[in-house]
Amino acid sequence: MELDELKTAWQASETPSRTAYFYSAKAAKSESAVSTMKFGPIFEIVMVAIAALWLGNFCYENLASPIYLVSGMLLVVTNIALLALNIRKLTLMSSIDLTTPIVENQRKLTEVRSLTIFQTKWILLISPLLWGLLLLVLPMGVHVDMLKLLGVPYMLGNVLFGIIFVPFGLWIASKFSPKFKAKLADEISGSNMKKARAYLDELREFEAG
Amino acid sequence: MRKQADFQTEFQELLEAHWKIVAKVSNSYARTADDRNDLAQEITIQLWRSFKTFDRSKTFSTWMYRIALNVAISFARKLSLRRGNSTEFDVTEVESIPNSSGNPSDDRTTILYQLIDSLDELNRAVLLLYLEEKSYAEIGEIMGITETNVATKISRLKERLKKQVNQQDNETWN
Repeated sequence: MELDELKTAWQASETPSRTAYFYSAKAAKSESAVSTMKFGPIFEIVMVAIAALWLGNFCYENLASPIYLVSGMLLVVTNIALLALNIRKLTLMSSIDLTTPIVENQRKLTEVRSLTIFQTKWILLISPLLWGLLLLVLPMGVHVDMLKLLGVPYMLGNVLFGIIFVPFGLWIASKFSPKFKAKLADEISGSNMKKARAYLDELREFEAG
Repeated sequence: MRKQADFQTEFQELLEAHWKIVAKVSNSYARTADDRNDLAQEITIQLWRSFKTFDRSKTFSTWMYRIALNVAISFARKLSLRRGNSTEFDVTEVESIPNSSGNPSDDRTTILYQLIDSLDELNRAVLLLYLEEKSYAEIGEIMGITETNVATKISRLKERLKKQVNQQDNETWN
């Protein structure tokens, strides 16, 4: 049997009803396989940029207090990394156009996905540390010195709480939703990233012939 | 400036005339009836969203194929990632594979859909376009690959079909 013989079968195969598809298309769905919604990254960029400015000012005001300066600087570095990541994501998302060739679009969609996986993984991993830093820096922004007010043991306790909270939160989440647990495990272990990279390789091979 | 109503009517007419593309792409990338409906709906949504940028001097079907296949490939990948399985053919999940006559013994249609389901998403797109009598140049334009590359892939698909038919013949005789 030749491939051309299958063309007749293909041309004759049934097509389902098209009733109401157009009207449902006008009412946009919230979840899409090719969602190019840019509100998320734009919102994150604005918030992170505001935070970076505020933190810059915070560092300047606390040049004489090393513990606050270092805490502020660490948060600035995290913010700048987040800002760069979201700008890259937004640039890629803006260039996605479903009317352009498939291979190129699939590559961009997969790169956006890789960046999201990377961001989720690192936010999860560094969140215990961020919790402690934020508890120190945010009140100081309104001139409340938590170290003086509550003491070093309380602050260390909170950092410890941050470290315990993430695995505990994950454990609770996994109790209620095994799928959520699997998804998070995939994000942290890097297996989702491996799948995304494998698909990028597949696209490169396809393009090369 | 064109009225919104005219714009909608034009889109609806073009969609009706080329509905076969949406239906066949949905049939080829989704296994269950529910998934096929979801995919057809999602393709329609994206077509409607992109319609304002459609250049009337270009072929509508080529434009439609690009959107439909882009959506379908992403849809199939998303489903496969969500369900944590491969995109390979799994007969237990398939509901009512479309056929030409409603007769399950229609060998060619069965072989055709088995071949479609055994391919990865990108090669599946090449096969669909080939079955739709698109030229190698058009396939290359839609996919974003060279004409020579398209020819190579079609030749591999032909080989694959031969192997599949031979394998089935051997299984029938054994």
